[in-house]
Amino acid sequence: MVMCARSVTTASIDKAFGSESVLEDVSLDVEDGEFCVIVGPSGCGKSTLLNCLAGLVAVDDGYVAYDGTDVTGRPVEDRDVGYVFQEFEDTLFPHRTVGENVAFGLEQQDDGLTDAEIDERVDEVLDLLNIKETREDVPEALSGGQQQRVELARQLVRRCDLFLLDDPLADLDYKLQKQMELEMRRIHAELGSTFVYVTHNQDQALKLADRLVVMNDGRIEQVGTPKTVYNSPATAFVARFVGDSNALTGDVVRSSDVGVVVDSELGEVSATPRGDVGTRAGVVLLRPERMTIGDGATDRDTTVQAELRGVTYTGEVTEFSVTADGLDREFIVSEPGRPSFGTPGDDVVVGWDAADAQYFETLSVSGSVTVEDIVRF
Amino acid sequence: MATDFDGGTGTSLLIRTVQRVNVRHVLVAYFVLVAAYVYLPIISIIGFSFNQGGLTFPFVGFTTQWYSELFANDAIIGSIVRSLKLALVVTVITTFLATATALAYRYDFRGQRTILYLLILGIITPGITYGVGAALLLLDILQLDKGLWLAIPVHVVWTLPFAVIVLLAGFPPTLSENERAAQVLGASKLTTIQDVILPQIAPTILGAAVFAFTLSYNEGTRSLLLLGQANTMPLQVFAIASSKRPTPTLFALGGVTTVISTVLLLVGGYLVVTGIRHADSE
Repeated sequence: MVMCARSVTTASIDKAFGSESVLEDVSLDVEDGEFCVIVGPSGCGKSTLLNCLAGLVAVDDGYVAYDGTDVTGRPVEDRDVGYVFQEFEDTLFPHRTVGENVAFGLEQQDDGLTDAEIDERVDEVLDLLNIKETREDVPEALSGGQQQRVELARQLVRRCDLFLLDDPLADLDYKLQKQMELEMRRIHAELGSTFVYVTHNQDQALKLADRLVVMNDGRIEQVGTPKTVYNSPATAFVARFVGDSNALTGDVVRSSDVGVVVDSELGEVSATPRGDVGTRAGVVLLRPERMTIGDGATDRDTTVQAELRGVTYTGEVTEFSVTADGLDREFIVSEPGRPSFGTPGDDVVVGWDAADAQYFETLSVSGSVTVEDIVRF
Repeated sequence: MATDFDGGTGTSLLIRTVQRVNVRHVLVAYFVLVAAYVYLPIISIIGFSFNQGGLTFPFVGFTTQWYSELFANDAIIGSIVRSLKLALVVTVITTFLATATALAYRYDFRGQRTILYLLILGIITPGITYGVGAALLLLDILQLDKGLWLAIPVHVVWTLPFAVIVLLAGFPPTLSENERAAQVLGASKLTTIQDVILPQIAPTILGAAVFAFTLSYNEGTRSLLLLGQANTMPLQVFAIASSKRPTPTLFALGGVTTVISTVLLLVGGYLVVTGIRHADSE
């Protein structure tokens, strides 16, 4: 068992492909042994950042350091970094069996493992990922999910101090994904290595991360624990991207003892300001599970008369979609279990506390996000 | 089927006739005619190479004497040996260059299209035109002596574009991704080429090599002016056939060459197609 892990630091990385800027001023610190998850919408640069950390892509500006040593110029084959590719169907060696694919990385290592030891390690990791029976098959004969696990296997078997993973569970079916998410945490704990994991699935991100990094448009929006990022988002983008939320636009009209009062589409509502608040147009974001629907809503700071539009039972909670005068879209309120508040078309009351309504004027770290973008997310 | 009359019975009769014709049968008949036109000369040569009556029609009796005469004819055998030697050297050079070129085209680089066009010039330049130009450069300007080896650069220019095209078509599209994966796994450049890239492209390389060999072996006009007395097989055939007394051994030579070239092309074709099919399935 490898007990070492490697810290990764980047400072002010810029990367452009041709005239298109993909990463701008990206600085990140990952501590040794951490499970760091980078999440963001497609095209935000998270895969490119991973490539830069690995050395598969050269940075235009800035540097990458492992354990404090600058490795920016070091070729990737000398870095001893595990990298699990997203496009596994293209990266697996088609002319070798699964066993040979997995053994390849071990054969390149200098520590002189015997053939028997290599065999044993290959068996071990195939067993761990439940693909032991595919050992003598070629990748072509496997399903997408099996191929993805072979790609994972041939990196994990090397027991590197640092693993970079590009959405390694994306092709697995729901049950298998849930299973593998637990396995990921367990493997991470057992190996003790540092994981930097990229995904677009923010549920998975919240579940796996010690440190969560939210990216947008080539920049880092926020870095924090899942709890911090979820409950105290730094910008409107983060609040919108991580978890569900309802959005109202408006301006601050005055302060109150609980926060600010915002003149929104639903009239004056109380909200808690986040970040700098001045005279710009802003958004109020409300999480569906923090809102109340029905009789309980009248006790809350803000109440709104609404019309019930739809009821969706999702297994753990029920989502009620409502609309109100002045609103050209629907809001979602979620309640645990399967309560009933009428049928679509009925009038209902919806309410929330000022503490649950977060008002942002800082929409995003990138300058190109508008109020419209946030509302129409 | 449209059977409405538009007033003129002739038009609709034609339309009706055309519609009744089975297009498939027409196409098959057409194919048979074209194939006959292409292959009959070759088949007749092979057929008549066993004719006791020699070059005269009709077929008198079966004999293999022309084949024994062929193998006893020093001039012809000499030219065949020269062609083989030349083709071997050309194949080695062309295969090496073509593989390097095709591997370079995995990545985008400046001037890649220009280089490809330049390569293809080797195919589209008429043979004798190129031969005249080569003679001018090598014999007059560079003052080199005529001889067999002078044909090497000329044959390489002829065979290289074919080999490059065959390789480009047969390479698996995932070679560069495989290479990145090998890098990450710690493999040196040499290991990557040996263990990851070459095994995947080997059948295609062999196919391209066989193709280049056949092309060089059968090439005549490009090196015509450079060889002097050292005739290659095509030139020897031409010399005999255009002389006052062409001999039946020519037919025997034609038969042997055609059969061997066909076999080589089939083998090469099989190797290349297997390579392409393998690449496509990824």
